[in-house]
Amino acid sequence: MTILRFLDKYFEISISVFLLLFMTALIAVQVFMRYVMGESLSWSEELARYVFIWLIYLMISYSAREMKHIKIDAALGLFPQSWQRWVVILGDLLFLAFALFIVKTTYELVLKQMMLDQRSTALAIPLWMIYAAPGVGFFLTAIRQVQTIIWRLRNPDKSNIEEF
Amino acid sequence: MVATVLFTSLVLFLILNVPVGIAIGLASAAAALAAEALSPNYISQQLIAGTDSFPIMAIPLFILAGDLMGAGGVSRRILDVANVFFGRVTGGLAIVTVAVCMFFAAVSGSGPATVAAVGSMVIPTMLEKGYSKSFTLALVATAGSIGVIIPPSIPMVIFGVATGTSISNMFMAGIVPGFLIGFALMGWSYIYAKKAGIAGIEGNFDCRVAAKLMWEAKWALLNPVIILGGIYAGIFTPTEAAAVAAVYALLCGLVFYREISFSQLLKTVARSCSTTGTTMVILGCATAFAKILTIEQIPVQVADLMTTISDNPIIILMIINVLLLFVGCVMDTTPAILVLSPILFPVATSMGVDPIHFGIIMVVNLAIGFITPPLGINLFVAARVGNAQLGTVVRGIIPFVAIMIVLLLIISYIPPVSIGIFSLLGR
Amino acid sequence: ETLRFSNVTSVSGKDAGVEFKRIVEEKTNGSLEVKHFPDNQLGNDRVITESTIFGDIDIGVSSTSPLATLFPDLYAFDAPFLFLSPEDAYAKLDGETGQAILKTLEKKGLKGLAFWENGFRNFTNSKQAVAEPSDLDGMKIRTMENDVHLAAWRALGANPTPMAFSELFTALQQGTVDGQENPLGIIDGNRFQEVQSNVSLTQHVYTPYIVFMNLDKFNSLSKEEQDAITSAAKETTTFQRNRSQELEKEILVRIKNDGVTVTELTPDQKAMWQKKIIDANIYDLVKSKMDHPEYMDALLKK
Ligand code: NA
Ligand code: NA
Repeated sequence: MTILRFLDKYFEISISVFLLLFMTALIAVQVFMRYVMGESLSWSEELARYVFIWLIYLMISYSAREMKHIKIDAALGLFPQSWQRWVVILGDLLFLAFALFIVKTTYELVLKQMMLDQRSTALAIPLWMIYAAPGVGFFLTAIRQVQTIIWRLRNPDKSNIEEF
Repeated sequence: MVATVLFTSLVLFLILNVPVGIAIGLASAAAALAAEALSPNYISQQLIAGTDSFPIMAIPLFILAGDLMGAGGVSRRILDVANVFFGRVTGGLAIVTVAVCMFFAAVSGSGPATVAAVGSMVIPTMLEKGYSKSFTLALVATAGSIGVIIPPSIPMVIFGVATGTSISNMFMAGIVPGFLIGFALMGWSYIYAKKAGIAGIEGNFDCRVAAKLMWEAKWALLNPVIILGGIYAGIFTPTEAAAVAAVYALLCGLVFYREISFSQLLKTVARSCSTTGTTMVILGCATAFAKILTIEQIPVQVADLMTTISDNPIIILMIINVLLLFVGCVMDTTPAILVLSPILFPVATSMGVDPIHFGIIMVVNLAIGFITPPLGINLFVAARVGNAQLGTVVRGIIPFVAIMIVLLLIISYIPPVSIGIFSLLGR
Repeated sequence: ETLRFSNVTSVSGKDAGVEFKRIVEEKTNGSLEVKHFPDNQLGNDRVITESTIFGDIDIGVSSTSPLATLFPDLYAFDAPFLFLSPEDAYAKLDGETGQAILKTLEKKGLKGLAFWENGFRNFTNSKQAVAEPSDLDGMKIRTMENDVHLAAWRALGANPTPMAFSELFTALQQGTVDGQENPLGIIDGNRFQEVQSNVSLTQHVYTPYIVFMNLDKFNSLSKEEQDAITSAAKETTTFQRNRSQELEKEILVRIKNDGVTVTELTPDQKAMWQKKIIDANIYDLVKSKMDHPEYMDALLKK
């Protein structure tokens, strides 16, 4: 249980913190090697880009958990007060639907990439590993959205999460 | 047909409280299903294509640098110094904010990266001094758009390549409009502060206090020197500068000032990650959206139609401005330039509009697009950096959009504002 | 039926794209309509190639270098001094070996239609006129993220550094890198002459554009339509190459007038560059990456 709770709170964010620091360090080292050592790295930029992509899609899930995605909340005012709660939940369901759509299409795309056996230019990383990022990110997001919807149904009087 | 699906579903999803990026993605998916011979996989592929870019990494890196400068005491020291010099002026802090944005504009070629760099640095202090949240965030979002007008500028490079116009001349022609926008925003800040009753600090300028504060802020003040110096000395590119700024801010916080503990560091980086995720997902989905617009040739058709309405240059320029402002609401800068400049450029130049002048008009237009909803990336970055709801920023943005449109008209109809610099320099 | 045609940024390519559209539509009496998307509006080379394989785009154009990880035989065209004149390149690309390489695209679902011309790559820099490899002397040079190019420039004595193309102009202006290498059409299209004072006509690598179509789409067309496409590809190839050569001449005149120093290499000087490449076993490196190393030998044959 405690492990589950730890993963719930820290899984995406701990990986992402590492990725952002790693990406920053890579670019700083790239500058150092080119300017100071006169011996440019050929792979640092590519690796930094791929780290960045994974960071983005992991953080989509984390932000879904924290309910921090940017919305046009003012539009809720178009609905009667009593409906608003359900509109929010409908929005969450649509978000969930998009997440599942991306998981499905990414899965197909990854299979295609595996068949193509396409590699990155500098490090020869199989590109399906990069294309998998939105799939994994949105898979986690789907879990987070289910969590969110359940939380909203259980807490009709709260508009946004403080702590699970 | 596809256009109808794209736009109506976008509006619908936004109203139904779907997050902006996801709404754009859902609308694109709906359009992909409606379009002929476009696989649903195309959306997922564009999520990668839209984020697999080195220059856009300047955004997360500047977000990180800004957060670290805030947590490590760098921002506070820089603003203390600014306060000594400009604090007695009404609206002094807001004016300093604009100046800092102009400074970062000379570093970065991107609008949202400028917002990211300046936002976390100045927003907390501005709120402390009594500026309203919506004014503060809207000011930073707007001033951030100067990032693509004062050189270097990624959209200007794209425009130059798409139309064969001189890029270094574009850079030169951007300087005066960039400063013009900066001064206008400073003027508005003064008026706003006067109305809101945010007075300057009392007392006279004290040389010794100023010298002391500057000495205490020496490491902090070195940060902008390193960034700007590094770019102009050819040590690193604008994107790499963002990483160097982050590393230096970390060094200041951990070593020089020792104001940041390890757990604080983790919290700060986590905050940057969250800002990055929520804003960059919008960019990824917006790429899919822009690609579908392009494939369905929607902007091309609209542009073709609009440019046949009149052959009066004044009216045509007005039509082009309206078109670009509208496109800027739903499309990001780079795809908009790539798709529209091949159509609009020959129309404008055939009527005697100077190519460079037209390029500046286009870039300023799309810079306004950074701050117009629903797709206004500067608004999103400002909202997240300022930890506010999008509505808060949007409420404050209206006067700024109005100011920018007035400036756009000035830049459009008074060519010397942009290209006068060449006759001054005798070229 | 409508075909989506994604095209590159160079002027000769765009002109040929318009021509391709005209020919196909004329020959099929409008049963095929071609929608032309120039300037890589639909994505960069790699994205376009993928999208064409997946069928979201019907016809694409790309430089060969970014596709070499997908079609390893294309590494041959990254080999420096593989072709020594345009005529040499045309003969071999349109000959047996070139067509065999084009055929390898079918393994991954593409119908190779033609080799257009991006052109001979030339070296530009902001420091000094460069005629011999020793003039490079540790210069920082932006190259593509490609093993062969990196190895070749290291062998020549430079410090090659990969860099995003959209940052290159600013990097050249500020001196973050001293030089770069591209065909004249790309150099002029990106206005690099504004920030580079020297152009050396090294002609070190000949980069073809490859025109390809989704294979299933091609096979689904009627015989007449297929013929219209293959003959349009053929006609535009001649048109595009001529246009490219013509433009290169114009560009050279123009950049000389702008005050750029243009250095032509003497045969002896060119031999020095070639020697460095051969001594560093770059050709063996290229062959080790190819599926059919024998194609390389065939292309090198005089
Ligand atoms: Na700038
Ligand atoms: Na906008």
